[in-house]
Parts: sequence; C-alpha cells; structure tokens
Amino acid sequence: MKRSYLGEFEEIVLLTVAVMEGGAYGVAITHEISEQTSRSVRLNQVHAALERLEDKGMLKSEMGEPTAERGGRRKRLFTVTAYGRRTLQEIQDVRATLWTRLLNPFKPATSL
Amino acid sequence: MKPPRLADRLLQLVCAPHRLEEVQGDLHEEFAWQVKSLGLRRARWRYWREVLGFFKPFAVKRKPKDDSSTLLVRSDMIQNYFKIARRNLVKNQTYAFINVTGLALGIGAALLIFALVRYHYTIDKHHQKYNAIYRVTTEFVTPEGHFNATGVPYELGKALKNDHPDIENLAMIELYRDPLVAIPAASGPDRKFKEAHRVGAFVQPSYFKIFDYQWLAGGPTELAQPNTVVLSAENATKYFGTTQVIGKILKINATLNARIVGVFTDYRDNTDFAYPIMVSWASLPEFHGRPLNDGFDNIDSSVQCFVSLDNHFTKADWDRQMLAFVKKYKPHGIKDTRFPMQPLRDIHFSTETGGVSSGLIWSLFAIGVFLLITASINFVNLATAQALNRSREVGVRKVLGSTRTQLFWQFIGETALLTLTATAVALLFFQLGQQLAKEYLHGVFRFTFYYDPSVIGWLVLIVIGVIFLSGFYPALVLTGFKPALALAGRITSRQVGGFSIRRSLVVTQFAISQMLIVGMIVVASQLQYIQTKDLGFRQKAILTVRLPASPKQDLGKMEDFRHRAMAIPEVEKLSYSMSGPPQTGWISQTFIKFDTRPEPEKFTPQQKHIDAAYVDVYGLKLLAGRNLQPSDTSREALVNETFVKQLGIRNPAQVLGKILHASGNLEIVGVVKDFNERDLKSGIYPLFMTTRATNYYYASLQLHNGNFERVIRQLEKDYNQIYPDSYFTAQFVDEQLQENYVQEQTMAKLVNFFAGIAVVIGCLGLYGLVLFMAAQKTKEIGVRKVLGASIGNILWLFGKEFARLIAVAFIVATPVAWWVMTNWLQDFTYKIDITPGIFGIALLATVIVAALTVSFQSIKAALMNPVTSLRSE
Repeated sequence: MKRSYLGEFEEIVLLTVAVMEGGAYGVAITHEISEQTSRSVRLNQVHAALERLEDKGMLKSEMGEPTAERGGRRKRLFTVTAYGRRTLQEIQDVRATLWTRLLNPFKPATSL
Repeated sequence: MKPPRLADRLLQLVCAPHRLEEVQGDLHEEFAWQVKSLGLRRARWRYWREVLGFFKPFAVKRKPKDDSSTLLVRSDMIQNYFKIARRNLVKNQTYAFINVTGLALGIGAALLIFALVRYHYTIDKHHQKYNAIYRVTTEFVTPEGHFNATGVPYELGKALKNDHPDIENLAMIELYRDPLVAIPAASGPDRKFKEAHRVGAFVQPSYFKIFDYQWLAGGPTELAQPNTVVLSAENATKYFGTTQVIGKILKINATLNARIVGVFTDYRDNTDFAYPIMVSWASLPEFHGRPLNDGFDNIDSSVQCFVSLDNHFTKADWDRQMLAFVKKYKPHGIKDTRFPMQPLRDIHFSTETGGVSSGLIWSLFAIGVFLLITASINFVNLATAQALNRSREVGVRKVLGSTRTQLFWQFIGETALLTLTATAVALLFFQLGQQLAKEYLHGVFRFTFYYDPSVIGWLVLIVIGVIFLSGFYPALVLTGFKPALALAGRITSRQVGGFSIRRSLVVTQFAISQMLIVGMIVVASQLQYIQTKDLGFRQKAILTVRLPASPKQDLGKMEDFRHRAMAIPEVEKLSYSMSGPPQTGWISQTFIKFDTRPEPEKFTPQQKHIDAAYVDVYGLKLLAGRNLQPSDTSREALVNETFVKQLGIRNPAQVLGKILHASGNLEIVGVVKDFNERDLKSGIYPLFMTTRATNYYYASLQLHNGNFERVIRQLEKDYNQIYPDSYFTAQFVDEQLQENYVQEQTMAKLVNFFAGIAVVIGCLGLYGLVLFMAAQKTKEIGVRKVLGASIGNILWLFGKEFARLIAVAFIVATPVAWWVMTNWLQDFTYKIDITPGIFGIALLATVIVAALTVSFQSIKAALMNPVTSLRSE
C-alpha cells in the first residue's frame, strides 16, 4: 500500500477539517482542536499542518468571504479531498482491526 | 483595539505575499477573540508570540515564478550561445577586430585617465588632519587684481602664534632646492651627495604634529634644537647604508653641521610635500649666516607657514581677524597685503601657487568619458548594421520558443564577451601606459597607479558601463524582430533601428571629435602664447650662477669671479643682482615716501638690488632718464611704469630727479618699461631697483653663441676655486622660466594624447561603417556603373552622407566647444582670443580625417568591376 503517512497532529487536523464540513479555516480549526483535545494549539502549528496536508493532496482550499474582525481579509476555507477521506478511512480500519485482535481489552479503571 | 503595529509590519515583511492575507486575517481574528477572553495586554503578548511563530520556512518561502521551467541559465543553451558568438566573430573578423581594438583603446585610456584623476584627488589625503590643515599665504592686491604667493614673512609665524594662541598647531618651514650633503669621513675628504631636483627643508618640530610621519628611529622632539636633522629612510640608507643612524653628523651645503635625531619612513608618491632632509628651524640663522629678516616686507616663496585648526580657532575666525593683524604688523600694507589661509585640499589644485589646474584634470576626465562613449558608439553602429545578417537566427530562436528576455541576454552576453576580450587587451595598454607615464611624467607627477586598489573598482564600473552602453540598443533591435518577417527574409535595413539612430550616433562621434580638436588647438596655442609672450626682458642665452648665501657678499671674490668669467670668450656681459632673473620667487617689499609728500605712500612697492649692467643684460627698456651709475651702495633708483602710475603721475619724465625715501634716500634716475616679474598668471606690480653690492646673490651672464657646455665647465672650475665651500649651480633663464609651465605642458600633452586616441577610435568606427555600407551597396554600385556612373559619382555616394553628418556635428559642437574653452581661458590673466579660424581648422581636420577614412574603402568599392559584383547571386 502506497500512501503518505500522517503524523498524529496532522491526523487530528485532517479529522477536524472533515468534522467542520466546509467551515474549516485557520482560527476555527485551532479553537476546535483546543476545545476537543484541551491542549494548547498555536495558529502557526495549524497553518503548517494545513500546508503539509494540502501538499499531500488530502486537503484543498479556496478563499472565502472577508469579515470585519479580520480587517476585511478573506479566510482560506479547507475541505477534505477524496484521497484525504480514504486515508482517514484506512487509518480508522487499521485501528479497528488491531482493536478487535486485542485479546485482553483494557477494562475501564472504574470496574471492580 | 488593534494588534501591535510593529508585529504586523514584521509579519508583512517576512511572510510570503501569497500567504499574507489568510495568515494576517487569522491572526487578527484570533487577536479579537483573545482580547475578549484575556484582555488587551495579554492578547497583545500572544499576538507577538503568534507572529514570531510564523517565522518558519513554510510561511516565509516565496511562491516560485510560473516561467521557472524555462530558466535563463541552462548549460546547453549557454554552450549554444558561446558557439554562435564564436562563429559570428570568426565570420566577421574585421568587425570584431575593429570593435575589440576600439573598445580596448577606449577602456585602457579611460582607465589611465581615471587612475590619474584619482591620483590627483588623493594627494596628501592620508594625513589625519587633512581637512583641518591650512597653509597661510600672502596675497597681493595689485591694480590688475589679486595674486597669491606661497611665501610669508619669517615674522608671521611668531606673530600669529602670539596673537592667536588658540591655533592648534603652527609650523614654519623653509625649503631649499638641490641640497648638498656631505658626510664627514674619519680620514680623507668628505663624501658629498648632490641631491639634484630634491628639496630639503628647515622645519619647526610642530610640523610633525600637523602632518603624519612614521618614525623608524628617533623622532622629532629633539628637532627644537639647532644643528639637528631628520632624514627619510631612503636617504639615510644612501648615506650610511643603514637606517640606524641616530647621532651621526651631516654637513648641509658645506656650511651647517647637523646631528641626525630621527629617521622616518619614505614618502610615497601621493604627497606634494616630500622633503627627504629636514633640518631644525633653529639652525636657519647659522645656515644663512645672518639672523632671520624681521619685519613683514620680505617674502620668499620658500618660507611657508602651515597650521592645523580645531573648533577653538577656525578659518572663519582668522578671516575676520586678518585685517586687524595686517594693520598691526604691516600698517603700510593694509591696502595691498593679505594673509589668507589656503586649505590643504586646495593646495594641489591652486595654479597660482604651483599646483595643477583642476580644469585640465576635469577636461581629462571628460575626455575619458568621451573615449568610452565613442568606443561604445562604434560598437552600437557596427552591431546594428550587422543586425540584418542575424535576423534569421533571431527568427529561428523565437519560433523555437525563445523569449525576448532570453534573446536580450544572449546578445548582451555576446557584447560582454567582446568587451571582456577588449578589457584584457586594455589591461595590456594600461600597463604600457604606466610604463610610458613613469618614463615621461616622473618628476612632474611622481605617481604610481598600483598604489590604489580603487583602480580595480573603476575597471569593473567601466566594463559594466561599456557592456550596457554598447549592448543595450543592438540587443533591443535584434530581439524586436518579428519571427515571420525574419524567417521570410523580409526585414530591411529600414526596420533595423532605422538608419537615423545610427546617423545621430555618428553625428555625436563627429561632434566629440570636433570638440576635442578645438580643445587641443586652444590649449596648445594658449600655452604657446604664454611661453613665447614677450615678458619684457631678454631670456635667450643668459646663464645664471648662484653665489653662496652669506650675510654680506665678499666684494673681492665677486670681482675675481667677474674677471675670470669675462675671460671666457663666450661671455659677453655679466651682471650681479639680488635675485637673478626678473622672474623669481623672491618678493622684497618696503614702504616708501616720495619726494616731498609728507605721508608714506599707500602702496608697497617691491625692491630689487641690481648692478648697472642688469638693465643691459636683460634688455630692459628705458622709457625716460638713464641707467644706474655703477656703485656698490644705494644712491640711485630705477622705477617701473606701474610705480609711476601708482604715484598718480602720468608722465614718466616727471619723476626723474625726485627723491625716493626707502631704507635710504634714492634719486630716481630712470623709468623702465613694465616687465613681467611673476609668471603670466598674475599681473605686474610697482617696483624700484637700486644698487647694493653686498646683497647680490646671483650672477647673470649673457653669452655669445658657442660651446655652452664648455663655458659651464670653465665657470664651475673658477667658481670652485673662489668658493671652495660652496657648490656650483648654473641654469639658463629660458629653461628656468619653462619650469613654471612644466605641469601645464605635461597636462596639455596628456590632453592631446588622449584626445588623439578618441579621434582614432572614431575613425575606426567610421571605417567599419563604410566597410559595411560598401558591402551592402555592392550591387547598387555595379548597376550604377553599368548604367554609366563615373568613379566620382560613386565616391560621392559615400561622401555626401558623411559630409552631411559632419556639417550637423559642426553645428552642434561649435557652441559647446566655444563655451567650454572660454571658461577654461578665464583662469589666465593673459589669454588668446578664440577666433573662428580655430573652428575652421577643427572642421577641416575632421573633414580630412573622415575623407581619408572613408575614401580608402569607397575607392575600392568604386573601382570594383561590375561584372564580379553583379554576377554573384
């Protein structure tokens, strides 16, 4: 199987873009990730990841509408490409397979 | 509530333009959100952090250009360019030769010129106080205007220091020419070194605080004492074989013993003040054998005063206070004497005080630029003329996808190739020029080019300039061809940049040539005029012999010398006088009272001590009265015309018999016609002359035709017997006067030389153009001849074109040349008129040169058998 591998952060960004369904751009993605993962994410990290993902062909982008709080500047809106979706799916499949083969699944810590 | 401006600026600077919008937008949006949740101050901090976070390659990297696939620099294309360039050169060897020769001559000569100009502008600049150093000079105000003498009275230094203690440093210096150095030997006679054409100096120790010297041994501190001397390393080595010579004894001019207290590193060629032997100022009275002249009336051009100023005392202070100073020390000179300060940076260019004319230097510079322009015009003309031959190549290249930029750089590259070849040849010329300069200019300029790495900078600048001057336009023309037309061979010479541009370039060349020729003629005839102008006294075949400088001349010895000299058959007459020929660096002034007028006169005439034979030897003309009676003391006086005029008397005869009260009472017995005492750059001023045998330091001998060398040898023998402790120097007056003009003459020669080269380059280009025209018109000439045209008709075919261009050039060049040369002549008190004849000669010269150049090739074309030219198809 020949495809680009994704780093963990890249995967999260890609997933977030997929989740946000067309409304994904730099600041929104950053906020979404930090809400969901409660880790501090900085804008430049997100931008760098988006850049790499677009290079790999998993994202495509177009310029959106300008808003006032951006000083009249346009957003760059990202959407996941088919290739990106397939990649996510494959990652998910690999994991699911591995999980099913786990003989002794981790018990939640709350069990007695 | 705006994000930090500085951070935003920084981001705009660093972030790639195609990313800036989204990044900045995101940052601003984030900032607005942060302000709401964290407050302004922390938001601003965050903003900074975020901006700095974008200093990463992905954000900084610029978007590559779209046409990056057709890179300009591709090795296979470059190889192809070289191949084509070489083939073209080989195919058109004549043009290549003309181009390279023209460019090489131009670049080589221009480089020499720029090195020369640069040399003149770096003279003495290595002194740290360069901008604070001044020389105090004496300025005389005469009815004809002002003129400056380098010399000042001995007293001036002391008075200046006394009245203006704020002057940072002040040093007096006295120069003496051709020093004679004797090294006392333990046994046997002294070893003597005659330092011909060198200048020694007496200096005060403070001189070394003003000018920078490096000491190899000792130093200037002991130079305050009498009988001490410092030497240059070169001279120390010459006398003793080593520079460790502190404490050794020298004998200067066989009279003054001096102990060496310091050795300094040799002068380089970039100074006007190279004095290899510097004796302490305190030794002067012993050297001259008498105390220094006091008072402010004696001025010798070799006694000079240098100061360095700081903010406590500036030149402006001095200019304000100078009049009061003159009033205090020379009240009788209040009207006609000034002591201005001359900045060091002006000294080298002050023609009045023996500097080079900056006008001539700038005209040289202009010629250098002209040289480059002419050489480039050649190139442009030949390249555009040939452009037709290359139209197919351009067409093919364009069809195959060359962009205009690529083609442009290809042709610029070809130009660069030729220019660099020419530069290699030019460096050869440069070397050659240096050798020539060393041989012919040494002693006048003393310059060495390679001292200065800036020459390399000039070279690079020149080469780049020439490449673009000559390559730009042809490249534009060549790249502008439409490929369809070019491939169909339908490009005519009309489309090749139009002949009119080539025409106007040729006109420019002719105009430059004509201006230069006018300049050459004017400079040459002005110098000729100055040198041959009647100075009012005889110059031919008069030999001056210097007597030893002693406080009072020994009259017996002088009589002895006269007898012996007169015994030589070639010696016709002999005269003794204070300062030798009428033109010297000596100015001795005094204030006078005339006749019965109670008040001293308001002008300060010069005085000369001469004997009765002087008028005769130098052929001065008497306007009224008679010559002086032979006498050893002062009793009678001769005055000049200007003196009479200054007294306010019209008729010269009226002053005869009147008494002149100077240092004694003198009866005016005659009035001489004015003669030029100074060189022709300044005027004539009032003068009286009287006898005083003890003040004679020169013998002037008028000679018949004969063997002058034998005369000088005989005189030297006689002189050495009478004055064993001195040494003999003899010089012809006309040669001595010529020396005043050596610098001008040399500069004029240089101007002529380089202007000549410019004309030659112009001719080369013209020749190439005619060559090309002849080749183009081969068929036309053949047809014309078949139809019965005579050779004269055919020649006129070529001639009329150039005749027209020359005429236009003449109209352009004449007013410019007239204006420039009129300005140049402003510097001279006595000057020639610029007559229409000069322009006529220039026009004639251009016509002749052009005709010669054109005719060679056009006669060949006209004589060609039409059968051959029409058959080739």
